[in-house]
Amino acid sequence: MSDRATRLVRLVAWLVPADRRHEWRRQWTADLAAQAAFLRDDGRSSAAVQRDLWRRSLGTFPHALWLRVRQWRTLMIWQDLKHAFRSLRQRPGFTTAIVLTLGLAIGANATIFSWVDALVLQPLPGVARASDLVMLRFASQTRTNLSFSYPNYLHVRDTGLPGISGLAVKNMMAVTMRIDGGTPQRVWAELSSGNLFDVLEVRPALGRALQVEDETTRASVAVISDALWRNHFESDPNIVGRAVTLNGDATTIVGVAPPEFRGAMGGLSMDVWVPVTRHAALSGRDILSARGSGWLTTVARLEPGVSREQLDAQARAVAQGMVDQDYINEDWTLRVAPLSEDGAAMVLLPVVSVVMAVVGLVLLIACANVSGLLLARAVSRQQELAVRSALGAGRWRLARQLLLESLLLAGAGGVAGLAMAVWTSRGLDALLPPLPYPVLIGAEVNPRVLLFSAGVVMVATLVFGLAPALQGSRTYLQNALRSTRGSAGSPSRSRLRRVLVVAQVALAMVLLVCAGLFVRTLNNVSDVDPGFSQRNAVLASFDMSSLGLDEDQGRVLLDSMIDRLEQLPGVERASVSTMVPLSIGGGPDTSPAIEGYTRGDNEEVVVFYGMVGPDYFETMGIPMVSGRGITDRDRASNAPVVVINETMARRYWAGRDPVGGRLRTGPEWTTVIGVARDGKYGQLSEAPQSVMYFPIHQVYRSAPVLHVATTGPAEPAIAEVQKAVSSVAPDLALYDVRTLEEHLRMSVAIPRMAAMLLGIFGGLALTLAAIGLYGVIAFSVGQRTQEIGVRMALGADRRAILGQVLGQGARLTAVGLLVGLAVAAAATPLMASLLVNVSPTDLPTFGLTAAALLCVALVAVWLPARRAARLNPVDALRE
Amino acid sequence: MRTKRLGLGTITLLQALDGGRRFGFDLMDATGLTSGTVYPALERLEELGYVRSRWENEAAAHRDGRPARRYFEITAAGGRALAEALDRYPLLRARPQERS
Repeated sequence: MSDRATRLVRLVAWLVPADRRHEWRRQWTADLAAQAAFLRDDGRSSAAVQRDLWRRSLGTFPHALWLRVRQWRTLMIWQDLKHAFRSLRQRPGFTTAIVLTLGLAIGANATIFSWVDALVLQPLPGVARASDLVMLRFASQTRTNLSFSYPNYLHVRDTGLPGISGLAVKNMMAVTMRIDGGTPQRVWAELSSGNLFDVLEVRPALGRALQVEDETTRASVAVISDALWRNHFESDPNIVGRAVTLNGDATTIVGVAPPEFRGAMGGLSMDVWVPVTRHAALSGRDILSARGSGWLTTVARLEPGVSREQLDAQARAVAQGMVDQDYINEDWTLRVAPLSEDGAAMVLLPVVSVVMAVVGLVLLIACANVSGLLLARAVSRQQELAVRSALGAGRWRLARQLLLESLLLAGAGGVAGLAMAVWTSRGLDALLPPLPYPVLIGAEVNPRVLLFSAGVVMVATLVFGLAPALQGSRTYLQNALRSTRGSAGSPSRSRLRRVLVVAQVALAMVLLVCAGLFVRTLNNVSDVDPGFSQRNAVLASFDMSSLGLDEDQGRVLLDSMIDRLEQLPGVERASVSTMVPLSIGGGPDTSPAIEGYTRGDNEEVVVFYGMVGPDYFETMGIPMVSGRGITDRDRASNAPVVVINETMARRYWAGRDPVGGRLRTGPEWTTVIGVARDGKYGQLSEAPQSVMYFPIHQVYRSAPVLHVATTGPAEPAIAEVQKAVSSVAPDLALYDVRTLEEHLRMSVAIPRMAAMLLGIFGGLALTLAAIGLYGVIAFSVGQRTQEIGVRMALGADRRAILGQVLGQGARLTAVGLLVGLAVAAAATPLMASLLVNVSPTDLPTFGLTAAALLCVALVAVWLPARRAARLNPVDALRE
Repeated sequence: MRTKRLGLGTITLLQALDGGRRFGFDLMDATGLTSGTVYPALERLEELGYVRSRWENEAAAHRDGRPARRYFEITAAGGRALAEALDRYPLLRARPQERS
């Protein structure tokens, strides 16, 4: 039977009244099973069966709803609902205010949940049973996210890991595709093991998927994405068998992936899938047989009934075997990781998690606000409730009626919030800056988001509705029927309202402190020294392997390209590098042997590295601390050299001069010729890390990034740079052409996104808290009109009245602020890793936030206080 | 007893039941109604006494390699309601096609 249909039946069953649930579930399960058997006997394809069952299973919802409504009708809940609806319609202003407040809060929660859903819960659209998928990663004592080399993968796959039904590996790279010799286009390829589609249980829409034989025979075949098929092949129904070139490598298209499938890396959208064994043909270097080169991430499918913990134990046992056979380092082990440790989630999830917590607080504030409004309203409804009570409605019936009103309000808020979330859920893709990766989060309001929102509506109903329902149903019959006004409800009721206001102020304080810390981080990030002084430069990526050049030809092309570029007017210098500073994800790393340095027990030497062209340091304005930088002399024919950064020098040459020292990443020793100043390689907030720069003419790479430093603004030079490159290599495609300034903007994109989102929600929280405070004070002034009139008549002057009301508000605010400060101080250390150069308990941020909140609170209190002070004593006494 | 006035969808459903269709999905296919209409309508018809439901024999279903289904049949009162409705809308008399 269809998985989706079964899940739906299981889910919707909760809506069915308990006494009918078992029978209902049995009926649907049996009908779907019989239908599945009938269709299969009829020779329908498995996809057609799934579609038919899903369509039919959609009837479960109206069926369950019908049974539930019938049950309500018999319990007279239906009448209560109608009554609640009428009562809310009688006060459109009050109802609208509450629905909007709840709508904003529920909408914010639905939106952020849709992001979490797309990043964590369903990161791989189009993949069946994604909840059974996990990653395997190597972990050492200091790092938990080490990748697989191809020999490591083969070993684990062939040894067989009990508990999984399949293990696939993949990596992504940009390749240049040409169709029928046409213009080169840059597409994203997922290089994967032949079983990727099988492990993910993805069936191609046309042709076939990749197969294990494609991997073992190194077949030049590719499966393309639905988008590529539509946009570049005009949805050609005869696509299977067509030839394209990928980086100059003739490749046959064997299939088209289904439309919803985007690849095996969450949040990233791939265009083609090719066997991982084509890596050498596509990249020009062969690392398939290198045991020590970790470059592949994995995806594994758990067998039914196997937990992650069980698999973790099995994986550790396999890793021990690998250690024994010298496959991996002694201190390495294998661990099971969630899919969210890969793809876009890795970068976005920490921020999105903080925002999720923040919108939860916004919801609490909104609930406290609405609760306060309902409590106030209960006072004016005392008579109505007392009459109902006198006519025989018990306390439970009254409480149920009030709770139903709350449920209707929350439900309407939920609908409003979801309507908002339909738009705002797509906001994550819009918020992201242009990145050099095919990022596509694709968050949307789906059944999981609907279910989550329904849960939020239920919880919110209880949070804001329970206290008013319990209080409201406790009517003091005689009092209520006798009095017209002035009975401001019981003392406990007004105490509860004050507690709610204090809670709102406290929560708003926590939120604003978080927002403040992120704004400080954003400011600090912009001030961090990235380690290079050049600001005007053009960056452009290219891949010489797409021209089919060998290493020597590639080196010649690099030289002539740089010569040509340096002749351009307005160009100061040009060079290349495989490592652009501040690129999310950083660069590759290795573990070199260093002459004269003895590793401690279990010490792991981790050094990031990149290949750079002559004059790279001068081009980027990276100062040399000692020795010299890479120059034109550092050629393949000369002795191998390397430049290291300050951190590496300090760490491994402590008390020695690193220049002239030697290190080894392969069989040959390489001499250190200089020490460059430290910089920021991955993110502005990173800790100092060890880095080595090899001359690209000695350690060749076919796909570096051009760095062209200009004397003036870089933007106008872009066209000239493109023209100059195409005059030297007409067939070479430049991609990701951008100015250095644009590139740097990307590096602050994540802190900016965090600051912006928290700013928006902090503002919302502040507004809600101010409204809540205003509401309570205004209500209290309204209730005490007569008392104020008496005091004025007895000689109290306006200033005393003003002071008294202001004092009441200020006391509530002060208590709220104190509670908020304490909670914030306890909570902010949790997000310390996201902050840059600011302590989680930064005094200025706490102080300024408290002051700002106090000011807003005083304005909110001042308005009703002024009204109280302006009361005419005669009118007030007459009321 | 006065019969309740039925909608077109419900009449079609009663007609299909009268024609020997007994299971939810069969009734869907015979009437062209969606599952979201058929299942609640069957509940309502059962409540009105026009339809009764039973569980299929477990052993028989087991022999076919599937769980036992709930099946429905039209009652005498349902037959009368159908006849009355068909008198009112004679064009509905054509029977739906049987599924082989």
